[in-house]
Order: sequence, then C-alpha cells, then structure tokens
Amino acid sequence: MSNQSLQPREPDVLQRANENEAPALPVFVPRGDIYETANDVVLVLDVPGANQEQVEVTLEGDLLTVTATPTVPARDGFTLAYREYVPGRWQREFRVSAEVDRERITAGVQGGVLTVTVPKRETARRHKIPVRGD
Amino acid sequence: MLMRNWHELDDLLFKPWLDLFRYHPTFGAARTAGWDGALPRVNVWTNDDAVLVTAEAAGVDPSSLDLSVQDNTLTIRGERQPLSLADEDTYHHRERCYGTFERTVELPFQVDVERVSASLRDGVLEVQLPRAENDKPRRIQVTAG
Repeated sequence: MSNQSLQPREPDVLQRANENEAPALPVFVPRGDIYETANDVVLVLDVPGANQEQVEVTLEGDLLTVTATPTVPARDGFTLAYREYVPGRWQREFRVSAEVDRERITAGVQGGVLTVTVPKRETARRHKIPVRGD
Repeated sequence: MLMRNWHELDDLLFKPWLDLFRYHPTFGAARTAGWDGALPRVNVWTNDDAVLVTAEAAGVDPSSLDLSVQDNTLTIRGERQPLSLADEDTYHHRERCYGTFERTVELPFQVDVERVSASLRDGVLEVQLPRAENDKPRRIQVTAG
C-alpha cells in the first residue's frame, strides 16, 4: 500500500461545513497520526471532549469522514477569564484507496483520542516470504 | 488582609499571563513541532468563590498528571506517551505530539488547597479551585459613633 492511500484533505471540510450547516459550532481539524501495520492502516486523531456517542465515521465513495461533536459544558455562574480554545466540532476527511476492506472499518474513542482502524484487503497485506537456506 | 477590587482582579486576569510552558523533547526526536509551544490549551473560568481551569489533554494518562498549587500559581504537569508501534509498523503521517508538558496558571486569589479537585474526562482536564475563606471580600459594618 502506498503512502498515498490515506491523504488528509483539510480545506474541503471547512468549506462544506460552512455551506451546509446552520450557525453551528466552529469546525476544527483534529491533529492526526497515520500508521500502517501488516494488516491495517490506523488513523489516530485528537478529539478532546468527545466520547464514543459523539463520534461519527462515514465512508462515502473513497472519502472517509470523521466527525466528533463534544457537548459544550455549561459553566453556570462562571465568567470566562482567559481563553486558549473554543468549543467546536472536530472534522476531517481522508481519501482511502481501493485496497482497503470497506466493510470492516472500526473506530473507538478513549480519553479523547479517536482510533480508526482501516483493514487492508488480503491482496494489499504484507506477506512474508520465507527464505530457505541450504 | 489586602482589600482588593474585583475589577482590578479582572484586569490582572487579562494581562499576559506568566506562562512557563516547556516542552521536553525526551521522546519524539523526529518531531520538530513538539506540543507546538501552546499545548495543552487552557481556559480559565472565575467567579467570586472559585476558579475553574480546563485543559485539553487527549491521550494523557491521569496517572501521569501532577497538579500543584503554590501561593497563587497552579502548575499542571503531565505526559503523553507515544503510540506503541510494532517494529514492522510504519508511520505515514505524524502531527500529534507527545512527551512531558508543564503549564502554569496564575490564579486571581488565594485558593483553599485542601479543597482543590480535578478530573480528567474524555481528554479534558478540569480543575476546581475554591477561594480561600480568609481571602473572600468582607463587608465592614460602619457604626455611628
């Protein structure tokens, strides 16, 4: 499987969100790592504040879309005094190659980290070829 | 006890905060960005009775967190472990940072250290710091002589 099999595509995400959504939460692109094992390609994304129910992973054509919408916590009786981050939605799209097994993609969230496991098709897996000695 | 005006404290809160952020590149020599000099990001909420500090800390093990309060300063230390990949696994793309971090937050008043509480949920740290009783503003009764 080539390095091109999963490619982040940021700008589209932001545009689409602006066109289709009501005045909603701002959309942010989560930071992510992508690594490949013998059988899978794994996406790891930081989505602080989001739990399992608030994450949606969809595959449409070759476009894998990950959305996480954390609940905005009520801070009744408090005034914001200093801010480095604003509540928002996490969203990012990835283009997947034809070499992935579309039916067996799985995702899980733990401690604000979303892991999406994209299995490779049998033909794309790494096979070790035994080398025989004398 | 110093009698201070709450609005003065507000001004104090908005001044550039002394923030001794440090990234220790113990791990991830391959990464140049580290925690980007601004992570984990922090928000601070206040009212007359308490300060609430929240921080984005996705993937941070609660057992690695070390919170301390000295005078009017809250220090948050912690560590995010790198992903554990097998030898044969390869990275295609890396943006997430890991390693140890330290952030300090200047608090607008004295807090009751014994009653500070903290939780880490879905990668968001929340620290509640109640104001010390002897630091709360007191109304002084004026009697006619």
